[in-house]
Amino acid sequence: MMRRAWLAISLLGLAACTSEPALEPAWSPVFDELDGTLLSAWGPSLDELWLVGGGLGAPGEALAVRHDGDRWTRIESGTDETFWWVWGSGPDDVFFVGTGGYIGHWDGASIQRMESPTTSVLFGVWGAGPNDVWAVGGDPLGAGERDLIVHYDGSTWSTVTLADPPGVALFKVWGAAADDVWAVGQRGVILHFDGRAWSASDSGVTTDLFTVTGASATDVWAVGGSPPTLLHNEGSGWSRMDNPGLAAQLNGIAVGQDGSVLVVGNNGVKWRREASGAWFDEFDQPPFLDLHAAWLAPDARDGLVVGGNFNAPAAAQRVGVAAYFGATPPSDVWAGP
Amino acid sequence: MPAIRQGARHGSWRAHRGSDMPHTLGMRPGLSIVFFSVAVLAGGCDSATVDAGAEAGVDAGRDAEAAGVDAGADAGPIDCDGNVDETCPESLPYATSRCAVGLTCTFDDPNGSWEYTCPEGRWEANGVCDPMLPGACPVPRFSERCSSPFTGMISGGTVQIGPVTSADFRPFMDEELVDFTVGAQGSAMIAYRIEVGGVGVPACVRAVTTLSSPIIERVSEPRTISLLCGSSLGILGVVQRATPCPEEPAVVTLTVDVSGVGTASVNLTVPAMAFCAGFG
Repeated sequence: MMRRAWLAISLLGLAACTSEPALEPAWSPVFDELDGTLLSAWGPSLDELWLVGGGLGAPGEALAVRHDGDRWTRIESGTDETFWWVWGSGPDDVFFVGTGGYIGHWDGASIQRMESPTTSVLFGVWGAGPNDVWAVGGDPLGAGERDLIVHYDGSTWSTVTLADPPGVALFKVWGAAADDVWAVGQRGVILHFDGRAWSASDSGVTTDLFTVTGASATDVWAVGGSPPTLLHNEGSGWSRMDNPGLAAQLNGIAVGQDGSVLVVGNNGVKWRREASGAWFDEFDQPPFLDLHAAWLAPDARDGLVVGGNFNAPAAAQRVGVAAYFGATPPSDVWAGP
Repeated sequence: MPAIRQGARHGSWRAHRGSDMPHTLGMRPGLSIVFFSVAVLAGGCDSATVDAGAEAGVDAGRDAEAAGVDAGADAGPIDCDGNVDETCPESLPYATSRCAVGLTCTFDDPNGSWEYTCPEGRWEANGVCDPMLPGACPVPRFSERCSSPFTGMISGGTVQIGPVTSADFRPFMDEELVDFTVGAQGSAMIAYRIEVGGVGVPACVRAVTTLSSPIIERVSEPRTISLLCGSSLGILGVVQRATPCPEEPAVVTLTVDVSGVGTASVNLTVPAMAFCAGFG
């Protein structure tokens, strides 16, 4: 029975896939109707790439879709929670966080739920290594008591006591090193961990910041909105960048080692910066649904954006979309469990 | 075969078809925090029989084919004449299209089924997940999205902005109070829909929507909007946080500029809490 479901999902989700490599970098659809919204993508390359998401209150199991270079496989998540984010230190060490304080771990064979210190939504996860992993979250409509940072030391997840809690939900965490970690959240809050403690960093804005990422300690980016907010930190503080196009809310950003940047937002907003520094506003390329996250291979030759109708309130049935930018799209082969 | 089109700036992108299934935003009015369902607002192109419309740039044939419906050779937008379904149609009807009160129809889906009910003379759709197959839920078939926005010009085209209801479109009244909903990341959003009039109304348009008010920064965003008989589904517009949080509802001007058709603006009264959701 399960096999039938996965097959059905695959037929629906992959109906638009492409297998013919383009001659030059271009956008091409990957998924356009998964039965759950897609929220995050992670992997070292197209040969080891995860897409995650879920129903966000609508019925359905958490989405965990893996591409191994040859085929896509939907991995049984074993939970009705939604995976908000995914990060791994390697192919056999991948962490998933999400609603209800869910934390899961992929060991190369299956996703196993880990003991979590919270029931708050965990929106983001990143680690400096397998034994040094951070997750952040909270309640965007709460009064601050459920907003938190948690840490994994290789054996246990525990809540971090902040000297000066910001009182807002935190959405994402990313670091250039174990002693150079950033977290962003509502109302322009940015926190920095220097290896000893978390402290506030002046973002200069009051808009909600949804994602932080970077390529190095001197190339860190954050996005948010509304209004659309694109921040850059070259090591000396945060600066607001000019927007290369129209948008209201920016949700995700990915950065390549060569200076490439991929920004996504509501209504299919896709801003792409090439290594030369030139920006391109490609909102007019499908998909047009809200996009939540972007992924770039380290060499920036391959990019991916994911999203769906995650902004619609919970009663809505969810749909997930993904699109690829580059010259060698991922395979369109689906292998169910 | 899918058409190959030149991208606006870079190389080409592969248009595709056969899977252009949209999603649904449905909204029930009258709640302080509005919630959405598949039921009310669905529409889109699942049963459209519009010609692919190369001349008009209409994007409908592709969606019709995606729904397993013959696009037809030269048909206008279907069901724009107010026909009422008296019995269960052979294929999924548009949610919000007219039906006989009390009619209930079930349609198979690879991941469950769709149950259509007609409590108030219009179809409401509800996806039913298969309880025996965890993770298997019907993928929404209705959406605002479409793939080939209209690139032409409509002479005498009109644009109106109205509330999201299960009834026929009506324009907003000046400074009408609108509800808001809150997304999963805490962003407040107002919902509205548009109606496009004129000869040769397309099924897919590109628009720029703008929210402006003395208490927030003016923000414009691009959209691609599917139209059914000229009407859109629900459109969500993110409301900025205002600092300080206003004590009273504030008037926001919503402008919708539809490419090749026209522009409309309306003043809406937005509850104070929408400007500071979670921080009131």
